[in-house]
Amino acid sequence: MNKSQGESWIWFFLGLLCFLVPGGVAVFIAYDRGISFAPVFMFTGIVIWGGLFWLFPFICGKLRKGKKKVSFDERDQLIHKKAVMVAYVVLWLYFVAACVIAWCIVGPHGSISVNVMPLTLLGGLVIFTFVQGLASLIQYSRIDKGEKA
Amino acid sequence: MNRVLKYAWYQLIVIIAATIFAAVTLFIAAKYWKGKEFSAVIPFCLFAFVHFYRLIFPLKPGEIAFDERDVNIKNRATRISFTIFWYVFALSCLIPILVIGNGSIHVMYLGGVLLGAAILTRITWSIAVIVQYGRSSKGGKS
Repeated sequence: MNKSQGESWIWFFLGLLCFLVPGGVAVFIAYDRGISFAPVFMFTGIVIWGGLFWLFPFICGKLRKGKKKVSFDERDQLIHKKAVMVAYVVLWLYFVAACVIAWCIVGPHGSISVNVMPLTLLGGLVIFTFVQGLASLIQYSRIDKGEKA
Repeated sequence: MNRVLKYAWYQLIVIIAATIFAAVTLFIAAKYWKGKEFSAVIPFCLFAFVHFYRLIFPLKPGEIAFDERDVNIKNRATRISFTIFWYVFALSCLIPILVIGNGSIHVMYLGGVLLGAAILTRITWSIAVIVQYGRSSKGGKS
């Protein structure tokens, strides 16, 4: 495992932890004590964090640019951009599936509980981070095997 | 005009026109057509015109569809539009909780959010492409 691949694994687990832990706590608080400021605030924080999380490797790369050793080069940027794109496409498909499945289950005149919505959001966050990390790892492993990135 | 830029303008105009048409049709149907049979396809039929671009403006012989710079601009615009979509998705999940609390929402809300997100993603993509071409023609970084 090279350094880039190792970093990719770190981002993968860090991303999942950053969303799963506060998201799980927010869901637990919401179900235990009802909807209040704290879980909504946590969800808002996760959303802002989740929407901008993919920028972090770029920012870290820029911060390290001044150092002599190159740790985030153009190839890494390309891999990261591709991974973000794949994750966004999967997120879009998940969103469409969530809407269509709810429609199919309750019918065109039915209604769904509002509590389902934050769970859908949390699912979207986890899927986005998971797919992004997985796509990065797959691309790095393909490069290691000598294939085109 | 560049073909990708032309497509962005075409898409923006079609989407805005189709949205206005859908809003007017739905308003008329709700006000004057109440209780009568009405197909939901009618207000949204104009959105299909987005996919007719290649039929209306076919590739001329010798014309290049897109080069590397166009691909970069398109990819950047796609990332921007997906980021906007992400925030729409998040807001659509959080707003019902803040407004309703512990109640329930009609399933049509999800359909509306899906349609709204799709329209907004397309509009953002078109604007991002137009802005990037505008910047690059002024000598800025594309």
